[in-house]
Amino acid sequence: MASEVVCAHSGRSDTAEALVDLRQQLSSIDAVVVLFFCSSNHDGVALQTSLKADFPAAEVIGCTTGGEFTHVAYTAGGVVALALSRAKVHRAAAALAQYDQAQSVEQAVRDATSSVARKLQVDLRELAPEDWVGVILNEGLNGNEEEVNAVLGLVAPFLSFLGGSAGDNFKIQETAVFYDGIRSTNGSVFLLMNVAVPYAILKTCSFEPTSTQLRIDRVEGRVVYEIDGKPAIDAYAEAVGVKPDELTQMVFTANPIGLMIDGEPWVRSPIALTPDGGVVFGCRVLKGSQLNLLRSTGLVPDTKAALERGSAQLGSQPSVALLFNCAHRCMEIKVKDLETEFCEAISHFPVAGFHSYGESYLAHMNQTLIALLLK
Amino acid sequence: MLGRAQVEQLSAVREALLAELGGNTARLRFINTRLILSIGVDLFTTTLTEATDPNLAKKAFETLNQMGLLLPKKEVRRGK
Repeated sequence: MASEVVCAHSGRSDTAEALVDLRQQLSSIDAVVVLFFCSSNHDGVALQTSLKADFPAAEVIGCTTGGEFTHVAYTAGGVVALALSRAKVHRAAAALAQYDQAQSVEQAVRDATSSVARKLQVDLRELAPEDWVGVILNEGLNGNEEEVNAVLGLVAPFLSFLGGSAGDNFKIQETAVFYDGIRSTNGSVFLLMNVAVPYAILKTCSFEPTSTQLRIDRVEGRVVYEIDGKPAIDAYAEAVGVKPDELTQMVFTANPIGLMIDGEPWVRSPIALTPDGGVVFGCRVLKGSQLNLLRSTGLVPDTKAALERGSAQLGSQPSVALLFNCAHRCMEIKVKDLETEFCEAISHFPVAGFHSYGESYLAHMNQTLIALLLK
Repeated sequence: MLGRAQVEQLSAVREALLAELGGNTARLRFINTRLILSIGVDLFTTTLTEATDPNLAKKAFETLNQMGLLLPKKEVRRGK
């Protein structure tokens, strides 16, 4: 009997060998969509073209990762693939935007989304968001995600695109997305699906707001220079309760800030300091915005609770979920030795996902788990 | 512009948008979240002061226009 969904995994580092593993697991499905997430050491183009050859009618997209996982596997150096049949997705279309070849990021996103609309013969503004959902895989090191999400909001204001930024196994050198035989180290792949079943989107971050608020007064790109009228480093350190020279990666990871919307934090994580007094964030923080310092709750119980909320929202256990889990959360899992507990938390139904260098849903964010759950 | 006046302008934009969305408050909230995240404007805000950027309502209106919303005449586009 044909499968409706398959979450395949190979821990092998050799691409040809990994493909043998994947093909064996994918042999039972007639896929409409295949998403794959691979270590940056894999040949992503070979994976994409081989999977496309196996499923010529499917859209096949992928990216490199900071580690990849399914409900039964958790690796760094391997590859996972999620395949969805027509029982889950009526039809789908994908396109690649390459920012090093277009006039601008905006134009590249507009061209790619127009291509998706043409393939499906739809008007993106007219689609019912209950029936359509998008996935976006961004390259993870060039900092284009905010603009990409903003343009998506203009061209498809009612549709949800969710996803993550590609990783490179924490080498922080080069990440890539794959589509149509192309490897792009400065681009995004967009996939729009006409889903055949109800879906739910989860956003969980395992942080809660403290009463400490910070007003952002001066920003350049992702670097904040002034908070509450003070140099950003001093103001952030004071809010956290440490001296400026005690600001380390551990302090940053434990003390992100959040833009609160309807009681939920949208996390902005400090990641470094600049020699000229700025605090570099993993995503843009808007000038004039008021954010709350956040404190950690519990990554594993929050993940469990979020997935349970998703099940409740769907009215039953999902048949499959696509997970984009922040690389900072991956580090927290490693540092706090939570791998067994995290794997247990995501083991209750089929899932496929990867550790991402930033997460996307309406905007770019950090230290977050974004999930698409299908009934 | 006084903060209170701008709050009233944003409120007017919100009401016009809600009307265009056929009273669909979930969709209004969704678009409002987009505005907060992309341009820092909350159509539901009540706390603006004299120190607030005086162009928030203008920014919101322009961004909504770029989304195909609140356009003049019958160019209005909305999701089904």
